[in-house]
Parts: sequence; structure tokens; C-alpha cells
Amino acid sequence: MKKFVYILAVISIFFLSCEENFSPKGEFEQRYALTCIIRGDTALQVAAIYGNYNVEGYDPSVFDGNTAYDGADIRLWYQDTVYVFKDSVVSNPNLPDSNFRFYYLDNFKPEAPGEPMEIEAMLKNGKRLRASCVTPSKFSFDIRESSNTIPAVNTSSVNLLWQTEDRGNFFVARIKVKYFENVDGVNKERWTELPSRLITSGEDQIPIYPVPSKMFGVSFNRRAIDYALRNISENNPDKNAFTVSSKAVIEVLSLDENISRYYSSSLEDNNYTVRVNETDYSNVDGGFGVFGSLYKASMKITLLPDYIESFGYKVLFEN
Amino acid sequence: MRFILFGLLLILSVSTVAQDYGRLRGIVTDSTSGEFLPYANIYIDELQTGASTDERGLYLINQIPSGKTYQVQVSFVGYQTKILDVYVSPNKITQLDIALLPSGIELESIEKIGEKIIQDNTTDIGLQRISVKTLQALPKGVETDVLRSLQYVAGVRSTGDVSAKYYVRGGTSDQNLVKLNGITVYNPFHALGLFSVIDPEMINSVDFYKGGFTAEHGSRLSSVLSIITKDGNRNQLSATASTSFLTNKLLLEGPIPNGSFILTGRKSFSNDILKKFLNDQTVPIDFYDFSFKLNYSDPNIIDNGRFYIFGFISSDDLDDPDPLKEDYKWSNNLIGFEWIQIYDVPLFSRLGVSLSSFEGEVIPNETDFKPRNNKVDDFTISLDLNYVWENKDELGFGVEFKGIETKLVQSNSQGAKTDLEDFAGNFSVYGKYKFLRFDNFGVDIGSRFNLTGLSQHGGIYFEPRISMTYKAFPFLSFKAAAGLYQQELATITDENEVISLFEPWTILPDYLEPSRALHLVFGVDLFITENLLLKYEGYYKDIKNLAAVNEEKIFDFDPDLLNGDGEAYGSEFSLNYKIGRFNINSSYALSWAYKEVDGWLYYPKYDSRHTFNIGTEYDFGAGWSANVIWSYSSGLPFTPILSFYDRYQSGNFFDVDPGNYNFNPYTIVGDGNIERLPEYHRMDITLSKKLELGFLDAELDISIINVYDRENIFYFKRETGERVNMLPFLPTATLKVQI
Repeated sequence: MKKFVYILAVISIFFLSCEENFSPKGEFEQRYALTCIIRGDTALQVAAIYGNYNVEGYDPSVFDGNTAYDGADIRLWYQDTVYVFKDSVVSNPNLPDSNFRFYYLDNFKPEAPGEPMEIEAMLKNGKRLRASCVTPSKFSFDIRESSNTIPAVNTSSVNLLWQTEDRGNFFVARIKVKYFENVDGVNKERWTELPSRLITSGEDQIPIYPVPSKMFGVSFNRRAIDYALRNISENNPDKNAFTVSSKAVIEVLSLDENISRYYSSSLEDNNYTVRVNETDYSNVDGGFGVFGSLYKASMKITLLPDYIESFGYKVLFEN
Repeated sequence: MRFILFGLLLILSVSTVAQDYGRLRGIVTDSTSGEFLPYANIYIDELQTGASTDERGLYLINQIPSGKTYQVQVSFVGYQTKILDVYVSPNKITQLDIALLPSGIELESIEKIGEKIIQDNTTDIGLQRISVKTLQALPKGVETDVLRSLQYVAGVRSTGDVSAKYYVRGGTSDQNLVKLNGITVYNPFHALGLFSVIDPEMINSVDFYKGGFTAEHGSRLSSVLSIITKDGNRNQLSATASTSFLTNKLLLEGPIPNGSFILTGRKSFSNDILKKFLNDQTVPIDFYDFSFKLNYSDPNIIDNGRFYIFGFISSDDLDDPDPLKEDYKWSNNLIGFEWIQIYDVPLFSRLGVSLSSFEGEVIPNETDFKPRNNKVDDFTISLDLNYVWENKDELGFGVEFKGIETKLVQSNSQGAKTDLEDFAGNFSVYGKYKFLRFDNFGVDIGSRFNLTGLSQHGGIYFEPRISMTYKAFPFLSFKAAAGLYQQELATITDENEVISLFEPWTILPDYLEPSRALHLVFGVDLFITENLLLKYEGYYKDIKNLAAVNEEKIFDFDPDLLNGDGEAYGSEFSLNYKIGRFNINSSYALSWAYKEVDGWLYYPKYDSRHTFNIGTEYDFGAGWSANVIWSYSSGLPFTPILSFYDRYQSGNFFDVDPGNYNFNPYTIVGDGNIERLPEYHRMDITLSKKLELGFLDAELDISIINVYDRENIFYFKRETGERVNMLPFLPTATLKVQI
């Protein structure tokens, strides 16, 4: 009898199973995201406004609409001057079957460090998106401590350092090498970017390029530089068809606090942790997105002729 | 110190006053292995009095009219009851060590029998004893796990099948103290938190205090899990090997001159089963643990004294062959010495010296992540004294010094560095008095005194505690407890992580106040019938200065932790029915938990309103037994998805062409933890068979987790909305062979 009761109790529990219709979605509310990154290296400034949307199910990648918002009045205040953005559309390869609608200024190039800016977007429905930022502090290359040739003399890596008053903001650097490839008698100008290091995964070598970081410097490993220069002629065995400039270009971007926070809020800190409720940084009042600024500094560095020639390439001497 | 000496002298002097009574004292052991039997019952029917053994198998019965022979009944479930004639001498302690012979019945819970007869006034509110047999009878999952077994206890929550991490009565996981032979284990988890590091084969007793614990326990706000390991077979050399889908284990035990030893080792050999826990993701983790324990007792050196040396090592390596993924290492190293002494007067002392270290490390390899390292070194020396008066009252006193060093170097995802290093000593004493002189009323009143704190603001702090029991009727007891608790260590735990790999410990930084909690607990035990026990406990917990991770840490100088507050309250019911070979345990908890950090009041991720468990055990005889558990809980909090927007993807800042701007879908979520997931329920079954394979004793367990393949939601991936469920239908088996 006891066995019977036991088995009956167990079986009855099976019938407590049930399916539920559950949706993790809350109530939809129309929101807007304003994105505007003011650059100190160009007079063309761009802003974009997107509305939010919903999809059937939970995968937003299935959404094929275009939520770019047009007709907004966007103004920017900088040093007692008001700049009014114009409206335009370009094809955006990143948004297939749609055009990227954006707002732009073509006459604004802020260069003063530590200068406040404000932006306001007035939407047709009366909604305002507002944000402010301060341009990055002055920064400059630390010529004395940085390498002055590629490859560096007496060290295995090319080191670039800079100085700034900003603490905690992000910088990102790159070195571009100009070269020409002779194709059917015509020298075609091309650029290659140097990776900072190489990693080996199985039999593959993977170049790793600098990413934004809080460091005031970056190192380019000799093996990685070799790899990039060797790869110039990867698809053309005729090394003689390549002429490499003796001057590479170093560029460093200084991101202001808002861009730094926006960028860092989307970073993962490991591959295994599973996070929900990720932080979505925004400094835009009344919506999402980011308003910030970045400045660029650049200088040239000498690519040693012997080094260029060691790959079988010709040298284009430049000042 | 003068007070202490005076107290001891007073105790000794008083003990000589008794003239007409004798005492009975001894140890209850298993006759086949010599292992101590915790919580066995010793009962003198003629006097209607008795005692239970403590976690080390010791018992003491006071106030026995002397000069007479009594029949003493010694019982323990799973063992043959023994009745002995004992002459109790006047004015002295009669030593009676008892060895019980195991019987055939295997599955009855041990801790309930005799409690209503013997422990009328035991001040044990909030205490849950989990016997080894109960542990073994639970559905194995992959293998028996002491921390996972806690999740069946009313008031204990987990956030999913995947983790053995537990939350007690609204407290955070770092507020749970885990002690192995009295030594703190800082990271009691293997394999991303899936299993505990404590091999159940080495466990002899488990005491779990889920609140209102008395003055001898300190340093944590929510719970204390005290695990005492086996001493090892005193009679013969024996070996036990077992295997599951995850690990191979070996246990070796046997006698040594004047003592015994036990060695245990466990090593993972396959990761395939882990995929079931990790959404089919392969995690190349490898782990092992190893422990040893030696005990020695030589009356020629010290009468009634016993010495223990215990060591424990656990190690986890997540070593990914992909250089673009980081590696992880975690390890615990424990070593301890213990001297337990029973004096001719009814005084018991325990001297412990131990070292416990934990190290966790993240090795970034070729990723852009920054290295992380966390190290905790804990040196503890403690002395506990317990004196039993003739009238059954007890005086407890203890001194503890903890020297703790924590080092933490890491950078969070936003690049903000943390570099915390601290070494501090916590010197604390406690004193308590247990009024047990009345058969139906008991009070344990005392306080801890922290004379020096680990953290800057620790300092002198009193933690008064009281726990009481009143047995109004033979079938009805009322219990209550209250106390203040302080904690000065915390883990930096991101609550947004449902699977977390690196939760470093640190002494609370100088800018934080120590976390402090008030517990108020009230309980009722009601024997509805001889075999049916209903227990109720209601609790209120108020936590101040809760250490919560600062999610806005952007710059190096931003604090890692913030002070928050917490509050939890609820009611817990448990119903236990047993008759013969049939046993049902059920529990229900109605609870609320809140946290407030930085002005934001929210439900923590482990707040579940209703939790219900029902488990049945049945011994079919002939070596067959079965266990079924059904668990239910109402939905855990989650943050709803409101909509999506195309977010600027800041990949290449050098690109000035707006046509190349990249916008990716991004999920807009609502207020944190404002909604509830669907309810959770699951049924697990275990079928066990004891076998004799020639000269070997074997045990085969076949378990099925989630018998009806319930799709319990674990979380939704924010990026894709993909639903990730907890454990699916999962059959597993373990085989144990003993030589």
C-alpha cells in the first residue's frame, strides 16, 4: 500500500508540468537616439537621429525598417556661435536597402582644447534631445621618449608616447604606411596600417591593431611591422612593383570623456561571463545616444630605407 | 582577562558543590569504522532525560541521581539501537563510549528522531542539520553536492540550476560563511560555481545556520555553513572509488597508532556534461581537490585529548587553447591544527590554528583584457571553551584572532583600475550563557566583542545575540532569536552577471562603513502527530552599509564599492512526515528582499516570493531505494526588454566618412529587475541500488534531473533576445565501489 501511495504521489507530480506563454518585453514607448561626434580633424561634422522600434520576437536583427529621423532642427553652440545642421542622405553600406539619413555641418572645425559645446535637437513632435560636452584637453607627442624610426633602434618595438592633462579618457593610435603598387605601368597609391602585435593561433598569425585605451602610449612590435610590410606584396610576387614611402604617418585620437564612457560601456571584460542589464551609457537628455568630441594629432616617422629594401621594395624618399 | 579567570574559577568551584548527582559522558561511534556519529540520541528512560551527541559525537547527561544502575538507550537512524546498563557513580563523571552497529534501513532522516523527546529546550532556531544520509539520498545531478543540497532548504535561494551559489534570507552570497573543520573557505565552488569544492565523501556532519546564529559565529551577515569531515576508519584500512560523468574520486582511510587518517581526492576528467549547464557552450575547465585529515589521541600524553591535522587543496583551471580567450585559475589552500580536550570537570575546549588562502587569477593571453589577481590569506587562531554546569546550564567563551591580507589588482571593462591591498587583524572574543536548567525552556544569550576591526571603520563593536526556546506543550515549542552581526570582507560582485567568473574578495576599503545586520527570528515547532512535524520560522533582516559594486566606476579613483542597504523578511514552513521506510519532507517559503544602492530601491536577482519543495524517500528493501524531489519557485526578477534602437558602433574612430558609420541594433531595457520571469519548477528522481560484487561493496545511483523536461528560463540574451533555459532533461549515473 505504501509503495502504491509513493508511486501515485510521484506520478501525480508529473501532471503539474505546464507550458507558459511568456514575453520578456515591456511596454513600448517611442524614444530617440542622437549621435554626434564632433571631430577636430575635419570641418565636416555629422549627427544622426534614430527612433526606437520593436520586432516580432526578440531578435532585433530581423528588423528591416529605417528609423532614421528627418526634419529635426539641430543646433550646436560653440564659443558664442550657433551652428545649424543641414539635412542629407547618403548610402550606407552598413544598412543594406536603406539610406543613412544624417545631419551635417560643413564649416565647423573646433580646435580649442577644453572648450564646452552644447547640442540640441528639436524634433517635429516638440521633443528635445540635449547634450553637452567639453573638447579634449591639449595633448602632444612625447618626442623625446617616442621612437623616431621604424624599426626602432636598439629596441624590438616602436614606442609612441604622448602627453595630456586628461585622466581617464581614451586614446587610440595608428601608424599608416603609404606605398605604391605598379599595376600595368600605373603607380597606384595605397595605404597599409601597422598592427601593434601578432598572435599565433594554430598555424595562423593574426594581426592585432591598437584599440582605444587609457594608456598614454602604444607599442608596435617588430614582428607585427614585418608582417604588415611583407603582406603588402602578398598577392603580387613581383616585389619590384612596390615602392614604399620613407615616411609613415602616426595618428593619435584623443576621445573626450563622453566618447570614452560611451565606448567603454560597450566593452566586455571577459569571454565567459554572462551579463544581463548591460550599461548603456548616454549623455543625451531626453533620449539615448552620445554627444562628444575627439581631436587628432599626427606626425611623421621615418621608415628606414634599409628596412624597406629588405623586403625587396623600392624606397620613395619623402620629407 | 581577570573576568575570564574569575569566571573559570567560579565555574570550577561551583562544580564541586554537586553531591547527589553523577554525570554520564562519552562518544558515540560507528562500530565498523569508528567514525563519530553526530546527533545520535542517548536516553535514560527511567529518568525521562537524555542528550544528543554534538557534531563530534560527544554527549553529556547531567543531574543523574547517582549510586544506581540505569538502562541507557542509544539510538541513531541507520544503526541498531543499543541498550546498556550503566552504573552512575556519585560526584563524578562516568565515561560511556558507545559503538553502534549499522542496520539495514538506509534512508530515514536522522535528525528528527528523538528531538522531541530529548531536546526540549535546545536553542536551535535557524539551524538546519543535513545528514550525510540525507545528502546521499538527494538527486545527484551530476554528483552529490553539499552546496546544491542547501537549495532545498526553506529560505535558501539560487538563481538557477547552473550555479551552486546560494542566497540566504535575502542576503548576498558573500554574506555566507563556509567553514570546513572550522576553517573559512573563501571560494567554495568548482567549475564557474557549478559545484562545491567539498567532496561529499569526506563529510561527517553539516550544520547550516540560516539566521539568528549565536555568539560563537562571526564575520558574516547571513548564514554559516559548518562542515566537519570524517576522521577516517579507526578499525581497518579501506578504499572507496567512485566515478560520475564529471569526476573520478578516491577515498582512502584507515587506522594509525592511536588514531586514524583519511585521504580524499577528486579530479575532473570530462567537460561534456558541463555543456548541459552552460547552454551548450564548451568551457575547457579542469579541476581537482584533495584533502587529508589525521587524528591522534594518546591517553599517555593527554587524557581525553584529541589532535587533528587537516589539509585541503582545491584548484580550477580554465585553460582555453584559443589565444584570443583569457585563462582563469582559482585555488584554495587550507591547513589547520585542532586540539580538542575534554577535562575531568565538564569542560570542553577547542584550540584551532589555521591558514586559509584563496587566489583567483585572470590571464589575458592575447586578448585586450587586463590581468586580474585576487589573493586572500587568512591566519586564524581561536580558543573555544564550554563548561556545563550541574544544572545543565552552559557557559561558553571564546577568543579569536584573524589576520587577513587581501590583494586585488584588476581593471574593469571600462579600463578603470583597482589596486587594493590591505592587511588587518580582527581580534574578537565572545561570551555566552545557555540557560538549560529548565526542561522546557532554554536561552542562549551572549555577545561577540570585536576589539579591533579589519576595516578602517570597524573598531570596537558589540554583537549581542539571543536565542531561546520554550516548549509550551509536549507537542508545541516556540522559538525566537535576535542578534546584531558585522562583516568587514566583501566580494566585488556585479549583480548583472548571471554567470560570473571572477568575484574577488577584499577587506572593505577605507571609505566604506562595515556592513551590519539585525536579525529577528521567530519560530514554532508543532508535532501534529508522532511522525508529522510542522516547523515555522518568520524572520526580519535589516542590513546597513551593504557593500555593493559601483557600476559607474569609470576612473581609477572612482570607488569600487558603494554602501547600500538591504531588507528582507518572510515566513518559512516545513513539514516532515516519516513512517517506517517512507519519508516526506516539504518546505514552503514566502519571502521579500530589497536592496537600495545609490538611491535606487530594487529587488535583488535572488528575490523569489514563493518557494516550495517536496521530497519523498522510500526504501524498497533488498538494496533498492528511490528519492523524488519537486521544486517550485515563483519567478525571479528580471529587467524587461522595452524596444530596440540602432546604436552607433564606435569601431573605427579614424573614419570620417559618414557613409561608413556603423549602427547596430541595441536593446533598450526597463528599470532593473522590475519584472518577473515565469515560475520555475522541476522534478528530479534518483534510484539507488546497493550491490555486492564479490568482495566489493558497490552502490549505483541513477538520477534524472528535470524529469519532465521543463523549460525553465535562465535569462534572455540582451543582444539577440535568445532565450537560454536552465538544465534540460538530464540522466546521470554514479558508481561507488568500496574495498
